[in-house]
Amino acid sequence: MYKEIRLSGFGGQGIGLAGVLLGRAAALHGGLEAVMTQAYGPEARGGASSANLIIGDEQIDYPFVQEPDILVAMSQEAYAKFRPTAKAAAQVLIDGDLVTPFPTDVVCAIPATRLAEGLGRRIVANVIMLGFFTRQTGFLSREAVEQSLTESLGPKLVPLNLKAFAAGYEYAVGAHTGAPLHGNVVLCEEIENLGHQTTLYTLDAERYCHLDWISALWCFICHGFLFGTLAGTAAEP
Amino acid sequence: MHGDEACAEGAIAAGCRFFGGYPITPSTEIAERFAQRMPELGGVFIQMEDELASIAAVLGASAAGARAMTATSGPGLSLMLENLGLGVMLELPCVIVDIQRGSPSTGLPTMAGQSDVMQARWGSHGDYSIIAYAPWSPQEAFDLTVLSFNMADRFRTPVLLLGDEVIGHMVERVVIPPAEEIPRWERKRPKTPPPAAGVYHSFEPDPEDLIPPLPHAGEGYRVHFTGLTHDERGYPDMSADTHHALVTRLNAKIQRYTEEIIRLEEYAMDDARLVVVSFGCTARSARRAVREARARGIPVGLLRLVSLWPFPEAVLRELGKRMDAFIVAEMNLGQVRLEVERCIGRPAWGVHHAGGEMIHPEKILAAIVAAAM
Amino acid sequence: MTQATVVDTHPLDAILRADRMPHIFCPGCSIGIAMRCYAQAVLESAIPLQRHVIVSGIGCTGRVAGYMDLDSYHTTHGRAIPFATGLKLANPDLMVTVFSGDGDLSAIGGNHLIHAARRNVDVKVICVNNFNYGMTGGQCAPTTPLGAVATTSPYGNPEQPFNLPYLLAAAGAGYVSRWTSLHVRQLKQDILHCFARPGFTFIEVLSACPVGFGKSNNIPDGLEEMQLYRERCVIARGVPLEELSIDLREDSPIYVGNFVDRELPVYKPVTHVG
Repeated sequence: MYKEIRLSGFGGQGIGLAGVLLGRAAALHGGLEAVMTQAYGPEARGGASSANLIIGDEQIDYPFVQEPDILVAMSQEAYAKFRPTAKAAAQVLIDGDLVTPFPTDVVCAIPATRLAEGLGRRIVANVIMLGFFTRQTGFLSREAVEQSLTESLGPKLVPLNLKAFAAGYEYAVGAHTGAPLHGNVVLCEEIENLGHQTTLYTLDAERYCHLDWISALWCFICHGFLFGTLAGTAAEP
Repeated sequence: MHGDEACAEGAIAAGCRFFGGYPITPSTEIAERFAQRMPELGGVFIQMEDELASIAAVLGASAAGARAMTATSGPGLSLMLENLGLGVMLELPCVIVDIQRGSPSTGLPTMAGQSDVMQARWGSHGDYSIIAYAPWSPQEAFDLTVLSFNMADRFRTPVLLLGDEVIGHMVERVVIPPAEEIPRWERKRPKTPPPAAGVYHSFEPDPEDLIPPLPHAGEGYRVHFTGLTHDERGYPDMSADTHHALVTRLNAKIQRYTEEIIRLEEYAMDDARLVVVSFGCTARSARRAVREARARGIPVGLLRLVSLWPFPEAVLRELGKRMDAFIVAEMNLGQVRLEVERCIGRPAWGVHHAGGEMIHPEKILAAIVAAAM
Repeated sequence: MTQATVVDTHPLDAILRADRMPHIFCPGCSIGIAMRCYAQAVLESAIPLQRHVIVSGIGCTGRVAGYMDLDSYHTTHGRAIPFATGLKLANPDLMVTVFSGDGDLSAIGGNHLIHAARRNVDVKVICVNNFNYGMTGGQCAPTTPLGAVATTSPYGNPEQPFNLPYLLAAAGAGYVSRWTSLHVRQLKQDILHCFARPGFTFIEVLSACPVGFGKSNNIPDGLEEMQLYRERCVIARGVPLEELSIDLREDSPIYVGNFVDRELPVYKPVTHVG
């Protein structure tokens, strides 16, 4: 096994931490080899941020991700920037509320940020995504990642993060009960009872029609924020 | 744990309790780790005003008996070279970590380079020998930092750890052994108490290994250390003979023990007809290239230079007699290739890049294929 | 004419490296006087000799470390202070004195000087100021007065010199004094005071360099400079720091004494956790 993984989003979403948690789960508890690299310096701040991992079952020589087999995108900018770098057939996981995928792309979506808000802390969206990732990709056991979480975070933060992890993990379970998702663009939208009852929608260009008004507003705010950021970046000399 | 952190942890495990440094990308995380860890261990972390001061403080701390180190990158190493020479001349053990970035000048602060190899060897003025190791993983950043401290104390000399940005910032599993399993070679210390009258000879070589025992400040030996050419008492002696004897010994105490100092790793070398020579992060690409070339049936092996200085001349001379071709892969324009060619007495293939991103295995593979034809 | 007498011993033999005599200082040079004051202070300090360490940089004054029978480190040009900082922090029991010249400390070592003052690291600095680079034959230094002649300013120094006490005070030093090589008692007492006082201290010692500085600037004799000190030195009382500049060639007062004495937190490595 040899997987190139790119986790991406915008600064402040805890993308780097998610990478560390994942790498630790693989290298310390998953019986695998893992290496992570990140972009550094002023160029790496703001805008799209990413954490890049290679996870394999033998020693990893070249440590840089080149064509991800798995892409996680938690912002539109990150998706737009990194989707073209990933394999055409890459497994793509997105925060469905924050990312509108290319029309032809096949993705698995979870409203990680909205779920995190449901848990009272938007900041755990990354860990919700990690739960979703774990279930969707299937090469790491739930226990391995939970162990990584438990030993990497301060004791006060562990319960909330385990809950967040479970939310992401079980969200996927709710959607599917076995093999990773396949098919067209899939969005898991409505959550009646977290992790148990979900409804799947096939998304097309009219995606927003399916969103409830809070999500739509949230999307609007986030996208507005991103465009604002982009505009700000562009304006800089 | 990433390479920079592993390096700091290696130093701490080796008993380093003094860090004087000036932040510089991509080595800053080493300073940050020390800043965080020293208070709980009762050690000293001090952020100095520049690299000139950092290395001076490290040498001072070493003179007072501490295992001391600093960490920097190319631009900072350029400034430290002045007192690297002082460290060599005063024979004060210390470790200088250089996490190399794209150079010259400010270059590529956040991106990798391997172009300080010759600077590490020859950078300070004068004839001297240096010991330098080049980790290729965070694990080795830990292990080789421990080794660097031991070598520094064993040979009473500064030791360089030449990492690179890729290794410094890469996160990988690092296994830290229990404290009792960390090897520690102590400094050779005076066997006699301070003389009641007369002068203790701080620079009188032990006839065994040319290395004088090191008295520390505050022990009553009333030492005199000077960067001037000095006699065995440490007193300045402006004579050509003393100078020649001193400089020759400073070189000989390292050159005589190259076998003990040099670390090499071979991969797929048993039946090899071609050999790739590489080090640091580039050796990772080289190993991948060698694997792929082997899969295509090319009898190629990898000689990884875990230590860069002293250069493994004898090994390369020997290989030079047996091998059909040499391929040197390094993120500079041919610094190690120059050394390899000097040893084998003929041209080697070079896979070079000035720095900024790691050399891709494909490029090394292409050179192997070309060399095998 | 007084006859020179050669003696076998010296009252400070206990602390000088007699086997390194004669020293390199020129006739009329006053570095030896400043060294003697330091040596006397060390003996009277009640601090065991083995706890005293002297560190110097490069230059005539830098050679002082080599003449003291103490743990002594003669380092590179300008780097005595950071070397001393490392010694002191690695072994806080040591009483570390930096004994060096104006060129070493305020030109090539200027950055270390101001930062050590700001940091208030517990190192005692004695700066012998002879207004030029004496060892190498009288080049212009940051302390050479405007207009003074030096080998690298043959038409007169075009630059303003440092007013060292003013500089040190601005950099945050807790203790700043100035004496001359004529004020041997005051200087020794002040060094003793610095030993007893925690934190960074700075004493400037005005010193004659007849060969390097004096001969080109109409003070060709060491004794003549001493005479000049006697005539023009004034113990400063309430003189603003910015008025402490010196020009030996002008008939203006030379202010000496203690200028700054303030309690500041002494640098120590962070030891608490949490």
